[in-house]
Amino acid sequence: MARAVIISCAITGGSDTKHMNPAVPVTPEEIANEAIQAHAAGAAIAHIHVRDPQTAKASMDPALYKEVVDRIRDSGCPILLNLTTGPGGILVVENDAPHNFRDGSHLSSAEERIQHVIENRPEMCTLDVTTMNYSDLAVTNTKAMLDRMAMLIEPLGVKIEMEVFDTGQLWQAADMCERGVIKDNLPLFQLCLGIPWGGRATIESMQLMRDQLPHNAIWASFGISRFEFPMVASAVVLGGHVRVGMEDNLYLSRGKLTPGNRPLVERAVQIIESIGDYPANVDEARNILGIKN
Amino acid sequence: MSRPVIISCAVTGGADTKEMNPAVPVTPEEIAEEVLSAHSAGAAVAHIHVRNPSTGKASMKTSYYSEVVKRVRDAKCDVVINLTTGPGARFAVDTMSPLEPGPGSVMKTAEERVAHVIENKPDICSLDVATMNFGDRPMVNSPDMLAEMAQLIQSAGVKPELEVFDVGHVSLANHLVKTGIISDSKPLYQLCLGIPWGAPASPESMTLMRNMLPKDAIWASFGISRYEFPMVATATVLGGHVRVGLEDNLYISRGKLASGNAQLVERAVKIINAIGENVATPSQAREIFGLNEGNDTRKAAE
Repeated sequence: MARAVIISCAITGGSDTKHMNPAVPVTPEEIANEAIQAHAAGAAIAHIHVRDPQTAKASMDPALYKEVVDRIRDSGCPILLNLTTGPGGILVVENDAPHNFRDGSHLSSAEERIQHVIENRPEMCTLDVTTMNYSDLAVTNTKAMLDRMAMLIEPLGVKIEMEVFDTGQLWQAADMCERGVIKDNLPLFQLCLGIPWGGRATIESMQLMRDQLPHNAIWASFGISRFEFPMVASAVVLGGHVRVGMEDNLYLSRGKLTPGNRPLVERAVQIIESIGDYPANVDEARNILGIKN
Repeated sequence: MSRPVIISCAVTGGADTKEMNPAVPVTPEEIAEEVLSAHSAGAAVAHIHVRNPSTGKASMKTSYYSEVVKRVRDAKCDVVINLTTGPGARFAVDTMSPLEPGPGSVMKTAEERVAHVIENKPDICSLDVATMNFGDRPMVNSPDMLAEMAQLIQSAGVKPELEVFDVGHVSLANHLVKTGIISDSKPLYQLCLGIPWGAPASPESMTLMRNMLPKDAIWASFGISRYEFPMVATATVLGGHVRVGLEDNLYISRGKLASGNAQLVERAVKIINAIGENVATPSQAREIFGLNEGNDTRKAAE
């Protein structure tokens, strides 16, 4: 029987990618329009970061989030909104004085990291259950920080998407569920693959992680860069949901930049349908995720 | 044909385990004695941490390492010596004001972390290619820090053992090998499994990680606590080497504390032999690792 597969679109992310692809949306208006377009193409969830409109760099400004959310809601677009809480965990260690946090470190309190979630009450937000070398930077999310963020987020009625980048992080996320820090009875895991130095974007990695999930888990997975579409196919076949978008991948095919998020979502729809499943609409996605209207 | 399988014994570690098993060695003399008995039982490699003799807690003091190494060498024991460089990467944040290091943060420079290695020139030392939540607190080893440590270690003629705790760590270790930061024709990987929050101790994760290794890699793997012996069997079957010891596991069976490291090594010997392989001697281990005369501290000590 054909299965409803939820497509998330990660619209813009927080990396310095604007100079690599001019289609990367920067202003709240651009980000909102891209989310609306992604929905029109078949995405049921928009995963949203915001950027400083002047510099195009990642921002945590709640006012920018509010403008994005308002614009999407005012347009009548029903897409589920999934705001990131990722920024605020970056640690840059100075080799010669490792107790000094070098310029570039960006560590915020739990309250600062979820201010925009408190103000905007999206359907969902991410929680990076991860401490890892994220390319050259260390990202740190301690147990105490994660517990505190989770305990602040869930009472807002916002569903947590646990982002995990490797097998041990998945284990820690499952432990948060087991300890009851995350109370969701349909806990949602996002298996983020192919980011240096996390789990690889291979079917083997995805399968190993899937097999580790709690029985009641809902899961999605994605691969970055050239692994975006192979990982869409893998997740569909392995029974998960999928994610595409310009946060993860700037190309439609080798050497050919994507002109926006919409063509990436369209490609995911093609993959899902040609395998024999179908993209979930927003109501189906709400039902699968246990998000009430 | 039967294959020589190298048994490493991790004799004490750095966790607060003395109160959990009184057999955990603490003083340099006790640690050296445990190395000698592990060697007699069949271990070809001793993986060594030191402890403060008064408190039983982990220490980074070079003089303790020197005493352990001297006692082992003076006993004419040819066991391959592997000193840890793990301590000094414990990061704690103050959750309320995260730009301040929290209590319990112990972050050291590369020089501080390898001082005992430079001083004692062991055959091998570990290098934790890992940033992760290690239980409640992060262990932070940035790629920059690892590069600096690798340079200092290899200049001393010591072979690094790349300790990896998850899939992504294998990728980073492979990257260090590929870019020449680890310059070793037989790069040595230790797949450390079952430590929260790293890869689980399962045949599936060991297989996945093994399949990622470079062709010329030498590898070993271990699981902690009740997974110690199942992972000895798994690594033996998958073509790797093994590690046991009180650092990783305090029990010989459910509810029954191990009487010492030798008992754990004896069990590993049994598993390896029962599967049909044989236990490598220290000189076979040296050959497998490609340890040259230059960094053979046994020769140097004579």
